[in-house]
Amino acid sequence: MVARYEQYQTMAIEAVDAVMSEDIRHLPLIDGVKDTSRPQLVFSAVARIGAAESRNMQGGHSDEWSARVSASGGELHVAHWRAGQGADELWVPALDRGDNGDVTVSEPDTELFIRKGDKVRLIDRPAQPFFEVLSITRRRYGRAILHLGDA
Amino acid sequence: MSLARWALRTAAVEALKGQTLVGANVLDSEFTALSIHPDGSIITDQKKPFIMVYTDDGKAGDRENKPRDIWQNGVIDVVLEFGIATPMMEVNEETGESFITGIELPVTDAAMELTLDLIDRQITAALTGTSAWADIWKDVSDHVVEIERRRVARAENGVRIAGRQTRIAVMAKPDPVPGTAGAGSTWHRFRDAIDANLPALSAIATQFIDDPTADLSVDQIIASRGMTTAAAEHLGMLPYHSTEPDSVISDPQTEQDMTVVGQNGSE
Repeated sequence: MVARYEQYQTMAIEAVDAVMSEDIRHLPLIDGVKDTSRPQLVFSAVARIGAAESRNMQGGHSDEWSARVSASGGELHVAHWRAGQGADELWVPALDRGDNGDVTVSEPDTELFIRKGDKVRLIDRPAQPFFEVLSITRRRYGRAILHLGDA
Repeated sequence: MSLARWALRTAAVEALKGQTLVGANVLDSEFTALSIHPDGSIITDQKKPFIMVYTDDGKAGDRENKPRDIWQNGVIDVVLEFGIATPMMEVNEETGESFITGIELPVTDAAMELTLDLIDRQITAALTGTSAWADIWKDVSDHVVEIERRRVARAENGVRIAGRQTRIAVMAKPDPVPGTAGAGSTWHRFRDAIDANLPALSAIATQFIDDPTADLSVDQIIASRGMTTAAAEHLGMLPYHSTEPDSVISDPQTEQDMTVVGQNGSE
């Protein structure tokens, strides 16, 4: 990714995300308990859920640990975002779907940030699975990435 | 040998069931993965913290005076792995909060560690307790040689997980030679407990632990020491010329009149 192609990249991201993105509900938590200082919001992002992979509890395949856990995790690729104050904070525009199908996207509100430890729920998917935000990468070009763990 | 390994595993699993925070989710040697990925449709026992019990490597040393006694178990590692991962808890659909069942704390790294500390303590209490299974577990070994505890915690590879491994090296009793496990022995109490609680395993239990013979036979003694036939013969445990017909003394007589003859022929 180089700046030379920035406008095309931006166009590509817009086009891809318009097709691939889905609605995500953000559930702010602080130390595992509902954070009442931040409202829940719905935002739009491309969710990439990994294939479930079997590893032992150390995260590897050694024989020292026998119990194996199969987990998928995933990533959320957020095209519209701004950096929050902390390294693990991400401001995203809130999405509101009206009853008549209209979609209103509001500019990032300083209160509406996503932080490591929050949960997200993929509300467009069957069974609406929950994930936990394990970390946030903001240094990629174009999209920010929320690294998700199964929850 | 193998019977002690089976007894150690099964007795531990049964002694732990229902006695710890994981409830009945005590697994025996499960080497397929615990599936906890959130596809939403599968909600099984694996959605709870778990304990897995298995027997690992064993080694019998000090063989000098027991040249071919391979019934010995020596030291066997009994391994208990237990863990907790974020998907193992039910999520409050409104708030997104998850609570660890049993201790009612929100899921933080510290709470996960504390949960494992509690399970560790509950395991020790259950295995040293007075239940019939715990008693069998204790009786299969003569003493504990070494205890090793390991820990993992990570939040990569798609899941936040914390786990412990307790490795208890026990000096296990030797497996019994077929037909020698007496009615009140550890092994027979194990078979009785299988018959009473795990009837599906009764058939195989009788193959491991057969009924004791009325008398201890020479063959059992030979088997217990792993002697060759020659060694047994030399020790007088087997007839020396086994292919010859037995000598039978049918009419023993005691000589009544004895004549002592002197060296020079005088009476």
